[in-house]
Amino acid sequence: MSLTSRQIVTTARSATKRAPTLASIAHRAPTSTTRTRSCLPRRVTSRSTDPARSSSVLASRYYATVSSPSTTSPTVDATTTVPSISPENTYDIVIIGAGNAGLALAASLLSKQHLLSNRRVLLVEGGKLERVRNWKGTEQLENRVSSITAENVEFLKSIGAWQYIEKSRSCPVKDMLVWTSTGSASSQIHFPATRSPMAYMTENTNLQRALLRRIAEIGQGKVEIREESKVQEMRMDEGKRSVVLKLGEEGWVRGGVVVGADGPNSPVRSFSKIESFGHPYPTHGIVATLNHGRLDANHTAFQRFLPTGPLAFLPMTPTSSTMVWSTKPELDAAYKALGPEALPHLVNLGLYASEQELEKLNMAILSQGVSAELIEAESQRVLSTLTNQDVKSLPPPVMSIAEKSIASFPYRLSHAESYIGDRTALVGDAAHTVHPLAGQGLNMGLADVKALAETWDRVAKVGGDLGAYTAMLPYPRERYPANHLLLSTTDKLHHIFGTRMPIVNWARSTGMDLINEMTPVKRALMERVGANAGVKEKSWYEAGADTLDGWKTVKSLAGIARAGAGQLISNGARKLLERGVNMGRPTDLASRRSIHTSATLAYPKPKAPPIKRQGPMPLPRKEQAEFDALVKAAQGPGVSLDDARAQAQSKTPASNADLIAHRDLRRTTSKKEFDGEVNPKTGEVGGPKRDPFHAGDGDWQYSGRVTDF
Amino acid sequence: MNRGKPLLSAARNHSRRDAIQRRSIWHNPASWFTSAQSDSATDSPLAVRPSTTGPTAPSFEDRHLSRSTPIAAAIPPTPTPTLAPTFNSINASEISHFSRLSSQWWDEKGEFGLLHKMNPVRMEFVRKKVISAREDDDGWSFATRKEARKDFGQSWLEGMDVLDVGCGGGLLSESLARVGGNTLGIDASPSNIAIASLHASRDPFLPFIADEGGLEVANPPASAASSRGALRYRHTSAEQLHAEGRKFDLVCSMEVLEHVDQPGEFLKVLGDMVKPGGHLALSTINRTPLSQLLTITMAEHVLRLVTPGTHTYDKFIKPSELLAFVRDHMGGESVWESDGDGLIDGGRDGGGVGVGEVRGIVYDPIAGNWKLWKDGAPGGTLCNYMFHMRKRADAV
Ligand SMILES: Cc1cc2nc3c(=O)[nH]c(=O)nc-3n(C[C@H](O)[C@H](O)[C@H](O)COP(=O)(O)OP(=O)(O)OC[C@H]3O[C@@H](n4cnc5c(N)ncnc54)[C@H](O)[C@@H]3O)c2cc1C
Repeated sequence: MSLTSRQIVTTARSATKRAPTLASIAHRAPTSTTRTRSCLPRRVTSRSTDPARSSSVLASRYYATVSSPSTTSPTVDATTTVPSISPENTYDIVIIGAGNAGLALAASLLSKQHLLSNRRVLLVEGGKLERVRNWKGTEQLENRVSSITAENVEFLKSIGAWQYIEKSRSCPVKDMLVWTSTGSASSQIHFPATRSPMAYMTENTNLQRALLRRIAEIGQGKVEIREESKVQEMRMDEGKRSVVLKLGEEGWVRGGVVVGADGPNSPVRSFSKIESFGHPYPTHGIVATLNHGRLDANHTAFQRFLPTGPLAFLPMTPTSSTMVWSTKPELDAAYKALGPEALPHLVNLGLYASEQELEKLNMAILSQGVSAELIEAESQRVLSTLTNQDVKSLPPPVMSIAEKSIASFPYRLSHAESYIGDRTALVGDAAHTVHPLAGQGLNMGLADVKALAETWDRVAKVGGDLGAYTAMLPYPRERYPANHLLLSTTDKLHHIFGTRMPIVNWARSTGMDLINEMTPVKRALMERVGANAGVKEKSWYEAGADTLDGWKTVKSLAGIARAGAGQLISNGARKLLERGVNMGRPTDLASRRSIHTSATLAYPKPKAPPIKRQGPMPLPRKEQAEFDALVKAAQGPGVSLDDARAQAQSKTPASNADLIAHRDLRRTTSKKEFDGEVNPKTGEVGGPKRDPFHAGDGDWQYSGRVTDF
Repeated sequence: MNRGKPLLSAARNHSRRDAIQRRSIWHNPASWFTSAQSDSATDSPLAVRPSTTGPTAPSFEDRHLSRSTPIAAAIPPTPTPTLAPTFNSINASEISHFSRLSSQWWDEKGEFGLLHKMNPVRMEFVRKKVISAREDDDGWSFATRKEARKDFGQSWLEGMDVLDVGCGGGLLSESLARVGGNTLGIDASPSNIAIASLHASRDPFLPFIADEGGLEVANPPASAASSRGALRYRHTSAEQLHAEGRKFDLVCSMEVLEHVDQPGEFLKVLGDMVKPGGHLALSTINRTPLSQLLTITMAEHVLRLVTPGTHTYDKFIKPSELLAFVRDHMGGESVWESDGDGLIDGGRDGGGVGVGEVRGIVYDPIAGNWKLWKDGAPGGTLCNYMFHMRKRADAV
């Protein structure tokens, strides 16, 4: 996709006013559910697991409506008259969708002491909730699992829902390892254990059931749930003081405000005429429950960034973990076609084989097909080469995959242009969908719900109209920028870590080491993703000292801080990362900036002890030299970018990489304004040969960069 | 500058560009509301008969009364205007006319956007005052100090009679009713009353009652709320209600004081309608170079947010003048509780001159919303401010 988000919006606008934008985009991309299904080869055979079926079943839960927007967009038909609606069918708040977001909203509204004392809420769900209600927590693990961050666990506790979580099925994640490994070089970021778990891996059903129980406990007479009741039509009432909705065959209800918690293809969003922009990823996610040998403690989340996408290995029980393998659609199909017997071995290869080995294997799988036996043999071979160190630090080998747990679905990035409309609000996936590599989709939805409930609580205290635009405004004010940052950060990570052109490769591994070296940055990233609920009151270096090794760390961190870690990132890593992005695909400037901002915005003011070292922490010698050469090449006088490119390429053979400079990159000229040592204008001796603040293009700029006063 | 420019000439200005906090609809109803009979008579908002006894404190009254505008002065002291008896029978075409006006008034992204944003802040101020009074009334003792205090939650006006003078489109009145107040909104402009009634009647959750001469709307939607106070509108003046002997637990009048020609008389009328133990809450504009810059120079002449002439600098009232007036002419501590202590922004700069409390409201252009100035911080009252005082329970 080379369209920018703006273009997408305009295209979609002019094409069709009401149809969901993404749906129309998705049609063009090879990721719609129908495609997923049809590109599966015929030779899918297995006893009980039909990946094709389970794939489309899950896919249809996630993206059911991508390929058929017309069936879900409520028709706005002015000809039929709305019958008069009785007070019993009039609700202050109508929530569409009893997914996690919708249920959490109902529960958090109930947790506000007075909000519902004279208000009624209707929760409408198109599907059945019976399965969720009757879930015992003893069934086979489900494949729809989300990590709930520590921050959101606190939130769920505060609304009284966490007590109903089946604890034996919610696995604390204590540390996290992210790595890449190209065979010759590998790099990793280790997020070491903090005092309290950073997240809990929880089946979506577990959370949904907990929320339902909480609602049943305190929602009597306040929250009504209507299931198997699909919204068919929505209309703004005359006078714009309420919205009327046609639910299934049951007839009409009225809502003072309608919340769309209705998932990625939100009918409420189309009703509100809120555009959503974004793009599908050429990526599918394969989920499955993995069985492995018993571990003393299975509390580490692993994620390997492969060129085809990240492979996540997330802890569930001592003997099983869940997998989200993001990969190309054709590989998704081909992997599943290998059958459930071959998949565990394939996963092992995905975890341990080098990128080169995997690439060869993928080529073979795609071109001539590979037998399950061969994959098994290959997996045995790779496993036998593992070092003790690998065994200690990497995930355990997979022995088998749980029956019926394999499924896959397409990814997309989308963000509604607004979270509130006329008497409507959007939460959760209705407002945004995100690449799952950071495990944030559900968490963003929970944060939305919390903010909206708090906003309404404040509004109700001063007698405001809950559905009024001004009244709801604090909700998007709080959530939109935060969500946008996360969306664009994960988007960029996807591109950076998915690119394997040599220089990017270098930047990627270096960038990761950089991040790994800089705990404050890591903490900033972690805080962004809400993993540090328990340690907020501490300053970053105290917490850093807890998690790393004591005073030495404090000192070096302080050194980094003083030397300006922010500067280091912005000058070094950011540039490198941006180049990575540039090579992958064009991104808009705003999103490109966010990596920079995510690291610096959340970066607390250092109250650091005095330091000895001036300047940033050096990288390992080889990388530092390379880094310096690049920075010098890009910034130093007299050397053109072509030289830099040549230089970089000479260090990374077999390259056809094309270095595209970011347009913010300082461009240098070697033009001297005078000869000799003395500046004729200023009399300065030995100064620059060129006025750095040279007015060009009518701007005050420094080497092409406008100085901003 | 518009010093001395008559308010009523501004009212004749037919521009629709209305206000940040203004009710200019209120000033030129005649051009909008064609069938209101006695419109011209009520054009002057809350026209007050000059007091026969005459105020004794010259400073306040002098500034605002004797320099009152030529036209306003030319209007003979009228008896309370007779209100249109046919108000209930407004026909269908007028309803569509009003619903258009109403949608303008209530368009939050439109001209009244700032007013919509200011409303919650006003309500918050009133809420704090009312709740703290209710808590006081509950009593406090060492014996009961550990018991949970009664939480008034979101019905903190329940059981209270509330008056909103100059209700405009009903922004404040609706909020007052939602938190349980038995609310009456009055306005001197019949079109405002029509706008407000129409708007309220269409909200299924508002306890709107169309019986006090408000607009009768056929077939109002079913109301789901029963326990949420009541909301009525009436086309009348504060003086008329006063003459009828009506009393209220809470009397509010937002952004009206700076528009009336006889603010002193107006205040006395409002104060009189407060029941013993009840509250008076106002908001208005200070008379400072800053307020002149913001509300007149910027809002009216530069940005044209407000019809030029809407505000008259001389009519703005300083918090200290307001406090002094209350102390000297409204009974001071013998009628009003002294715990507010005549404080301005919780501090004593220029305050400490009587009863009641003044609090600044400031607009934060970056956050895009209004804020109640922090208690105790100076400087918040330089432009918009709120005033509250509570009548003593033993006041007669
Ligand atoms: C593979 C994968 C892994 C993920 N991992 C994580 C993770 O680790 N951490 C994380 O935080 N998030 C994760 N997510 C994201 C997370 O699952 C979703 O963001 C979250 O479940 C969305 O919840 P929701 O309530 O907003 O939407 P949904 O769960 O989609 O709920 C929408 C509901 O609305 C109902 N509905 C729709 N239309 C109508 C209608 N017209 N009438 C009535 N009802 C209607 C639907 O039936 C549905 O129940 C992952 C997602 C995927 C795909």
